[in-house]
Formats: sequence, C-alpha cells, structure tokens
Amino acid sequence: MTKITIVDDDVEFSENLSRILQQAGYEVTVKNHTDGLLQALARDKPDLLILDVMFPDNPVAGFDTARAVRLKKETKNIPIILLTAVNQVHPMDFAACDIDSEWMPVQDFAEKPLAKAAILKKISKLLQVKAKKHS
Amino acid sequence: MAIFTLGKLLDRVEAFENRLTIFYAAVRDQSKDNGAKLLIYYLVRHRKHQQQVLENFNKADITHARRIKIQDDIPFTPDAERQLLQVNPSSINGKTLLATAMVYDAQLAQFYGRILKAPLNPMATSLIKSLIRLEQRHKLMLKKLLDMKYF
Repeated sequence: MTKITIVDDDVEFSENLSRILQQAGYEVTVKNHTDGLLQALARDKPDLLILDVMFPDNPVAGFDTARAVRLKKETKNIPIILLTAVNQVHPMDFAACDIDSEWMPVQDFAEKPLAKAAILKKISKLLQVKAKKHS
Repeated sequence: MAIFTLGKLLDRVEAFENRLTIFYAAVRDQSKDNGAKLLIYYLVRHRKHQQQVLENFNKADITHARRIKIQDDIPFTPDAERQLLQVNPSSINGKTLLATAMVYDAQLAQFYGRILKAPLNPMATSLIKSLIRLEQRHKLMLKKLLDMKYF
C-alpha cells in the first residue's frame, strides 16, 4: 500500500486530510510536529510527504525540514508537497514557481484550505512521476 | 573618459544580488529570529524574479542591449548606507531586514532610473522599465509586510 506522511500542527486539518487519503486507499501517518521527523521518515520510508510550512515555534519549519529531507541519504528521494497557509498569514505569495533545489526543494505546493479533488490529483501525479523514475 | 556598457552596469546588480544571496543563506542558517527566518525565504526570491524579467526578453536582444555604451558611469552602492552585509547574520532581526530590503529596492529603482536617462534602444528601455516595475512591486509588498507589524 502506498504510504503518505502528513506533518501539520493543525490537528483537525491533518486528521481530516488523513481521512480523505485513507478513503482514497493510502496508508497515512500523521505527525503534528517536526521533532524526530527525519528519523521517522528514514525508518518508515513513505512514498510521499505532505508538509506544512508554519509551526508555532518556527514559521519556516516546513522549508527547513524540506531542505533537511533532501540532504539525508535515506530520505532525499521522498516527494514533498508543501502546504502554504503562510500566504494567508503574510502576503508572501509562495507558490510552485518558487521551487528550487537550494531553498525550496519540494515537488509541489498546495494552498490551504485544500480542495479534495485537487490534492488527490497532485498526489496521484507525484506518485506516478516517482514510479516512472524507479521503473 | 571611461566608457561603460549597459551590460557592465547590470552586472553590478547581479554581483550585489549574489552577495545578498550568500548573506541570506547565512541568516537562514544562523538567525534565531523567527521574523528574519520567514523573511529570508521571501527576500531570496528577488534575484529569481529579476531573472524572470530577463527571461521575458529575447536572448539575442539582451546580448545586443548589453553592448550599448553608456557615456557616464552610474555608481551602484546600495549597501553603503546600512551596511547590512557587514552585520553578523545571527544577530539580524526581521525588522532590520525588511527596512533594509526596502532601501535596496529604492536604490535599485533609482539606479535603473538613471540608466534610463542614457540613450538606449527601445528594447533596452523596455527591459529597464520592466526592472523598475519589479522593484516598485517588490517595495509595495514589503510595505504591506511592514504594515502588518509582525516583523
């Protein structure tokens, strides 16, 4: 079964998203903080990571974590979708055009609130790309 | 009298942006200030936005425009007033970064404005005007962030 890890401090949001993904047939792990995340990812090896940007103690924890994921041998190939509620809090317009290997090494962005069909489409697309790479 | 080219002048901006990017990476890795950490990810995109403006123009046209001779030198020293690049990256806070970035945008717009006074071809004029508009937009966004009083 395809494994997806959701990391978001918003418990209600992450549970709702988890439910949607489970209904779509994915095996989902939810974490509400980034502590120990790298070790967990290296151990669990999810097929995809959905990562919020802003956490209470660090407004760019998602960006920092994405860079750390890319630097670790065991996690560097995990596709990442960044959740960008940050644009609602600050007018910063972070978007897919900002993706780059040094500062924002992710595969896609998704703006909160998420539309169910849109996030499922993004996930499916990224998993297909990953499967092609490994075939 | 020394003759400058438009390309040489634009290279000064690129060199400055490259130095800023290195400094921003140091702030990202060393600062403990949440405002600074968030802003850095926003500010570092500025160089990319400049590149995107250039990509909207034909490469051959840009090469041609870069060869345009400018009679008088136009100094570009955006960090002279604040000297942000001399500050220890770990001690920077968001408010300082934001205020300094607004100064940089104003200086860049002023620099481009002075270039516009030189005789340029229509394509080069259009390019410089696009760069000015980018700086104006950027400054406006920074003003919005400043007004939110988060930093």
